[in-house]
Amino acid sequence: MTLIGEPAVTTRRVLVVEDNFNIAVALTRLLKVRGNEVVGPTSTVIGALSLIASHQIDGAILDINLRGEMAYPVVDALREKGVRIVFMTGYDQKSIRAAYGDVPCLQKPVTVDHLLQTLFG
Amino acid sequence: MRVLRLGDWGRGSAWRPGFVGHAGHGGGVALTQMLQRFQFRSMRAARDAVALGWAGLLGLAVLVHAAYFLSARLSLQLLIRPDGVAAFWPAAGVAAGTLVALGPRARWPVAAGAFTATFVANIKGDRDFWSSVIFALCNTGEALLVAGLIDYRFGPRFNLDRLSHVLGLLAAAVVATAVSGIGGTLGYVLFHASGTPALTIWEHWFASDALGIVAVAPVLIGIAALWRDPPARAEFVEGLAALSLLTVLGAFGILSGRGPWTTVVPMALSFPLLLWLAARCPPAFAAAASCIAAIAIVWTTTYGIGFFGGLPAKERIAGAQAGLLSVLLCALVLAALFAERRRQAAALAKSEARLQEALTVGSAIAFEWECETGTVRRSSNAAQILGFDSDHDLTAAEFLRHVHPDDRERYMATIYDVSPEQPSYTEVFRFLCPGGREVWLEETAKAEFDAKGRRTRLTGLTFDVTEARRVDEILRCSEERLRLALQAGGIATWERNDHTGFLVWNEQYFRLLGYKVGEVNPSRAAWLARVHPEDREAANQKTATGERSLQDYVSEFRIVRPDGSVRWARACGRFLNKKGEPLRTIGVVEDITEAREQIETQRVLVAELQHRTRNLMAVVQSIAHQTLSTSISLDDFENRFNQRLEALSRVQGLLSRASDQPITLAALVAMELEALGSHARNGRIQCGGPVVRLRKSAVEMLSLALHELATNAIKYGALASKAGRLSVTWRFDRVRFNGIGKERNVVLEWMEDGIAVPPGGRSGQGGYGRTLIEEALPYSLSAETSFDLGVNALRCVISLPPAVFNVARENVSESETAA
Repeated sequence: MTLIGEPAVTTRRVLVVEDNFNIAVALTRLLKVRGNEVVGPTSTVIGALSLIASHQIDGAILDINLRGEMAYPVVDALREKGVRIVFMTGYDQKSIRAAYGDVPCLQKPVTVDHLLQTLFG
Repeated sequence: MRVLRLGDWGRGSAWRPGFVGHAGHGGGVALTQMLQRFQFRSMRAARDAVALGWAGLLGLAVLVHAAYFLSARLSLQLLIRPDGVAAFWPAAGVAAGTLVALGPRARWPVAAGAFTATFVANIKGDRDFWSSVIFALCNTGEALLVAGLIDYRFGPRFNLDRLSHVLGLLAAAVVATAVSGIGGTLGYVLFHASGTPALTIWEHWFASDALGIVAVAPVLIGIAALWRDPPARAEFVEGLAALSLLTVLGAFGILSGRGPWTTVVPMALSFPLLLWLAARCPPAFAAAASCIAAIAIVWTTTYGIGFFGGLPAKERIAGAQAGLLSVLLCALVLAALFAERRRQAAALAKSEARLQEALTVGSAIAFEWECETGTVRRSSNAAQILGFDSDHDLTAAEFLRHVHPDDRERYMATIYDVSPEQPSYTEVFRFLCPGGREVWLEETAKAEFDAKGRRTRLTGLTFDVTEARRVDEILRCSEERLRLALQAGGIATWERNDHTGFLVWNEQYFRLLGYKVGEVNPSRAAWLARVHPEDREAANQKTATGERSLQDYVSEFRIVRPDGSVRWARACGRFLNKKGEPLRTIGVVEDITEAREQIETQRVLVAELQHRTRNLMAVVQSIAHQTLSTSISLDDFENRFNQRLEALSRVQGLLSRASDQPITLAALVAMELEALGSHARNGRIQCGGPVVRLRKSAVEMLSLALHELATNAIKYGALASKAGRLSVTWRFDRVRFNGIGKERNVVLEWMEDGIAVPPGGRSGQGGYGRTLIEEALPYSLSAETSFDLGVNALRCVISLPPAVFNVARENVSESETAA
């Protein structure tokens, strides 16, 4: 392990889609502390879709259930653009629709480091 | 095996077909048939002969020869002068009797023995060679003819205990001796110079031979029968005693010299003895007795002793022969008649016993009801079945009185309805026994009528069917219970015969599949047609696999009914087999839709709970972050963090009860104000508004916001000063058009006035609470908010979009006060 030659930490743009304000705020702050740029946060599917359309995004942290609405359309839009996704949910993985079973899923509560690790390796 | 047919010997040199025609059936057809049968019998006779062995045959021939010779010699001693024909020829009976008794296998030894014995006896008498040969031939043929006729007529079952057989023996003896008499007469006329007319010779020959056969043959036949079927010891001893007595009487008659009483007395005494034997012993004894009597009569006649002694020879002989014949006939016929009677009595007793046994075993009463007198005769088991004393004869009227009142009318109507056209009936009814016991009876009877069509008699059988009814009833109840249980449980059943492929569904099965009962013929295709297309292959596969392996199987599938409704079903099948050979398949199908729905509800609930808990943890985590970043000391953090956790916990309690009781805005406001304690109760707080039912997803955030507002009010706001006042009110906003339809928000106003301005300024106001109002509510609930803090007043307005609440449809204007 050496400091010399270590690649420069690039700023990653992370979309946060989470309907709980407290969680969204905490997550945003922690992501920023770790040197990421946060797109959002937003609490609705429509909000997320418009952000995806208008921003360059490297990764996305999605709550599956957004005020009772499932976030699958957001996943579809992100997949089209080849964006890495991680689900963050209070639900079991079993309750995720089979077509989205390959999306990594973390159970709340979750640490930001765990999220970033899952998202970017 | 006493099988001897005419043809057996007839195939030999002496056979004359024409004779058979006269003696037997006459006509060519009968003859041909006989010939065919004789041939078959003949083969059997040959086999029997072999079975007896040559030594046995030779021994038999010698025995017959000896017996025949002795009898012949005896008879030749009793020749009737002047024609030289014996008065009594028992030798003929010896040969014929032996043949009949022993059957066809004895034919050649007997024939040989008879032939040689006659020949020798004649030669040793005064006969010349040729006459001896002819006599020997005649005598031999005579015996064979008797045996042949009897075998032809009666077969191997010939016995003296039947009258027809006894008469048959007589007839055979008459025919055979008549024929042999012709040969014998020819022999006398040709070779034995005699002045006597041929007819007289024939008569003498015929009489002596016939009597000989009738006297001696039955004894031999009877002894053979005794040998085959030995009598009881008592019978045997009794018979022997009577015979001995008779012999003594005979000897007495012969030996006691002349004088009428010497013959009359023994004769008179011998008749009761003969009767005794005939009535009580097997026919053999009667035959022996009559034989002894015959010998005694012939003896006394020949030597002129006793009763016949004084008469001229010719009359003496005729008288003796007549006496002989009557004694023989009487004894044999009586014996046969008594034997028949004994046999019938035994058969009757046996059948009676069998009937009684059958009635008892079958719990049946046989009865005869005389309609005119009303008396009824019943089999002896009636008392036991009907529960009466066995010595009490139950009359028809008494019987009717004991028939169960509910059945009596029907039963009587049935009986009175019988008519000559419909004389029989079967009726089932209850009968009350004297002890109170109730029996079920099934009566089948037939009525007899007189010429005027009146009922005279009813005869029939009454069966005790109580047990059968009880078993039937138990079975019926058990089947009914099972059927009800299956029906109540909504369980469908099916059963298939694996050989015939015949399939049976119960009614529930039709209903489960959405068929009307009986609408289709049960079949696999009819089942699959109603299985959900997505499940069809799997369900069919499961059944097929079970069939191959003969293992029980369980499969779950959906059923789509014609009305479009979908039901979940679970089917279990079992294959009954015998050594791997499938016999029957039975199964049940259960409607598990409700069970599955319940499981699904439970799954959602558990997921919801998990979701809420995890979210809550995340919220706690984030609140801790927020509180930490605005706290000035650890004590400050502890204080505020605990209060926020309490607010969170209050709202969780509210949420957990939400399924029973919708959470209203009033309830939420009241809860947060009550949490303030005594401050809330001093009349400075005013609140109220219409009924607004909140969506659960909005409750948590809204309560946290209200908590921050209330906490701030008590710390820094209106409730911190004595003069301050708080008003929390909400109302429906004006109707707006949002592009799709009409909607209106709920506007909540939080108003504080009379806020005391603290000496050090209002530093703590705002902070996390303000962030919640101004940022979190718009973010999480899309609420529009304003937070205006004046010098000594606060005006906070929260406008909630329709997504946050359910409008109380029943009454929008209804209002609530959170006091």
